[in-house]
Amino acid sequence: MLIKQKMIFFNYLIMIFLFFIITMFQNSFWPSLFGIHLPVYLWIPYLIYWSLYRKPGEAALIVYFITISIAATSSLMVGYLLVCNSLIFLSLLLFKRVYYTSWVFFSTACALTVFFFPILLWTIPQIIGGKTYFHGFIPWLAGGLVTWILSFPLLVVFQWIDNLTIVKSTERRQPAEVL
Amino acid sequence: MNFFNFDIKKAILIVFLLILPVFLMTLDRSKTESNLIFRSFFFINSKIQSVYHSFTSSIHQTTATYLNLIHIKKQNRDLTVENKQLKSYLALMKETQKENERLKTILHFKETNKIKFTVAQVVGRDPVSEYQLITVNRGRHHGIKKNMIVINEKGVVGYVFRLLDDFSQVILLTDPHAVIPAVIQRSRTHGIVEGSNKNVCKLKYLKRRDDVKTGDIIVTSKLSRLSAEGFPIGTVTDIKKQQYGLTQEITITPFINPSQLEEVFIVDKIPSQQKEF
Repeated sequence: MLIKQKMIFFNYLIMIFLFFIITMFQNSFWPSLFGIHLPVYLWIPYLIYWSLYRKPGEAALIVYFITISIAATSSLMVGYLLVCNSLIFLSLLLFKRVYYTSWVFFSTACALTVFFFPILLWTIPQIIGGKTYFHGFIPWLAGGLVTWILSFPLLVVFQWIDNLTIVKSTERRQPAEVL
Repeated sequence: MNFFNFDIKKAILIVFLLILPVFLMTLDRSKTESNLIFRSFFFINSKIQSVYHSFTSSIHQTTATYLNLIHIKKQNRDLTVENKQLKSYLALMKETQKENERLKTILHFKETNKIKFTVAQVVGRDPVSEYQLITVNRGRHHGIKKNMIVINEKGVVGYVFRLLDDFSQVILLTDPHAVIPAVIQRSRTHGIVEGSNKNVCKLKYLKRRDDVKTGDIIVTSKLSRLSAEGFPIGTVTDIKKQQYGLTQEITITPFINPSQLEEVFIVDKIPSQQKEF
């Protein structure tokens, strides 16, 4: 039991560290190579992975963790980002009750979320009242496509970490069992 | 398919976690974002960004060195020619300088101080591409303060938004949340520059009859809380006047290119004599 708990803790630690590595890769390394006109949202596959393969309570906490971390390096307000991420999380919770959490569903969810995220980000301030703008169609499509492609290796890494740390309490389950 | 079969306790927990953002949105931004958790995340992110930046810089430098070696022979030949030309210009310049000094003495010109600034490198970008915040590797320890204006060789880049000891975040003038008081250089009409999108800004709150023309240069105003007057922001590229309305819609193209920022200057002190950049 103790070993299992240690492994779970170790898994969380690695996953959190991986999150910082991924997002800072996106913020620092990616723009210096490809500029700002090819945006990627690498935290989205991370959020989707937690929403699909982990318990809802854990995933909900990760939503907060991701939001605060992203908002700490963005001019976007915490509340807006939290609403966006929470809506993504909630949608995935509902969808995964119908579909199976296979890699096909993961990639489909990534593609849909990445393409809908900028629209969501634009819509919420329009409703609540706030400043926003749309980056443009080409960066939106290109960025979405690149993020979707990158979600495949990310899924492999996430699953490799989970297999390595043998997280039995939060293992990948069939969707109906989770909630 | 047990779609309607779920645990009520978990559902309540999830609903509670989802309702919380609504309350967070009503909170004052400055209070929310200045807390310890927020600053801790900023600190961790900045450190990792700094590592990535060092790695990227080394790649850039290695590539640049290799490319330079290829072109070095041609470059050397061109430079030799250029050097000869410059020598001839230098002789002329010495004469002009002497003439200038003499005229200054006659007109009792005071020697103006140079602007004091801190050079900073951009180590990170905004993770949300619709917004434009950059992280630079200079912070409180280097004398940086909130709302200090940030420029580059072309013009105003933005202003300091958040601070840590060794890092700070600069909100670019093209960010939707950026607000910079400005003045039209020619007519001295005051307005507010607000970010609009990646390439342009808007000059707002100008009256319908205020004097503004396409091509006018917009500079920072002395009314600014940024306490940096006369720095160039951009040029007026479009003016729209509605048939009825009190104001006019002015589009500005900034002098800076937000996608090409590598090094910026954080303005520390501006001498009182300095009126125009």
